[in-house]
Amino acid sequence: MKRFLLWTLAVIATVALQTTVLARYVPAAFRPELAVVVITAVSLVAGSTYSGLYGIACGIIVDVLLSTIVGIEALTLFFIALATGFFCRKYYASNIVFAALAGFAARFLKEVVTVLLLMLFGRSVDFMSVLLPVLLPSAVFTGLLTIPVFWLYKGVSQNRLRRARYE
Amino acid sequence: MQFIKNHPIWSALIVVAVLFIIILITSVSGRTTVAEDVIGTVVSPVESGVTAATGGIGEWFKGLFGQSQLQVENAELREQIAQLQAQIALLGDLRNENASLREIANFVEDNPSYDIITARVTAKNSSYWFDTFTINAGRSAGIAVDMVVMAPDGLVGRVIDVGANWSKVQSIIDSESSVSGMIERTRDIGVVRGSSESSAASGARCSMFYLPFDNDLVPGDAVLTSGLGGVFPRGLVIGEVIEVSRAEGSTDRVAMIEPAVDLSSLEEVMIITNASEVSK
Repeated sequence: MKRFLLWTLAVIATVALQTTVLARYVPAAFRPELAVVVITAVSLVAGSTYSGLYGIACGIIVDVLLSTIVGIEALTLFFIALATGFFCRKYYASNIVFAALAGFAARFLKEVVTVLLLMLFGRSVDFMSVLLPVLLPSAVFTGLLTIPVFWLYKGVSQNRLRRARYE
Repeated sequence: MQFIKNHPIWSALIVVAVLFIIILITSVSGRTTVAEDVIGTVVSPVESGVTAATGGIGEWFKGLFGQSQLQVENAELREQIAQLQAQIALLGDLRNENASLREIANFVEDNPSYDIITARVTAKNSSYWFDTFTINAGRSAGIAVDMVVMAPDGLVGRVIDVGANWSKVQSIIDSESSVSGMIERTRDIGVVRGSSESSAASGARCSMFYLPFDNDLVPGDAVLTSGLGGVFPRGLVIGEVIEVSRAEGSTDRVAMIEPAVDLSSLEEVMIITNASEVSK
């Protein structure tokens, strides 16, 4: 129950921060994608289950409140969770540089998947116009932000594991 | 949770299938379901609260990305400056809100035929592919789908979804937005379409299509709504022409338009509830 409440709070906090402070005040090129940061960090440490559910929850809220196609953000974030979860517990997954690279790549992957889905639903999208001026710097910031979140989540889950073993 | 852990592939497939069905249903119907209404009703007040609480932080962010001279200020005075800036940010926020409300009051006075509801922007889509935002007024305040959303400087967009205490607004720079526009000077009519991705890359822009090839548009020409189409009443300011080019594979001309409203820093909007009656 406690864990469920914590995850619910995390979902609401992520969406609220992303759609209020970051979306309104931070230019698109400097704006990290908080949901991608958390999903990448959690996937690398604990696999896709929690990060997938978290991604769906964040995505559905954003879709309902702000998207013209409900489900697209949820599906994209779920896909990101599956993709980054593939690296969970691989020997290099505990490296913070790898976490940053994963966050960077996940940010790119999210937009690529979104564009493919939009094209599937008949929307014409100009991907190249955002690729270099906006998406690349945004992916760098997302990757950088993944480092502290990954480090924090890794520490918390290791502590929990240690406590569970001790008990 | 146990099922997910025991059958990860099946779980993933089920989730993808369900989300795909949701996308299909909403992209076809475009209506708000009960579930969407409940999610919006619960989350929207949280976002309103965060928006209200982070007004001061927003000023700080604006400073961070807009004023590089802060970085070169004397280190010894930084602490004092930070304290003063916090006070200035608060005052600036209040001053901006005051100015915005005064402009709205003037607009209402100048346009007595419109029935207007004011609302605050609570959340904004941070995606490059959509330019939509949420406002803190919904069905209970008398908002309905297709109502026109304005700012004192001009047209903002239209309401595309309504919940109990929130509404979703599609701005005129969203890629799916389409408004019938008219060049004020030449009276030429065309269709103004948004482009979310190029707006994300190089500032808010719209394009005006289907303009006659023999027109004499010049940068600076004002673009207004034509009143055709039934959603937007005639004569609302959309923006001004900044560039004119020829459409690919056609003799028609395309005009690049800069919206009159600064959509990136929108805080208060007006919803015209009787636009369709005014159009008639």
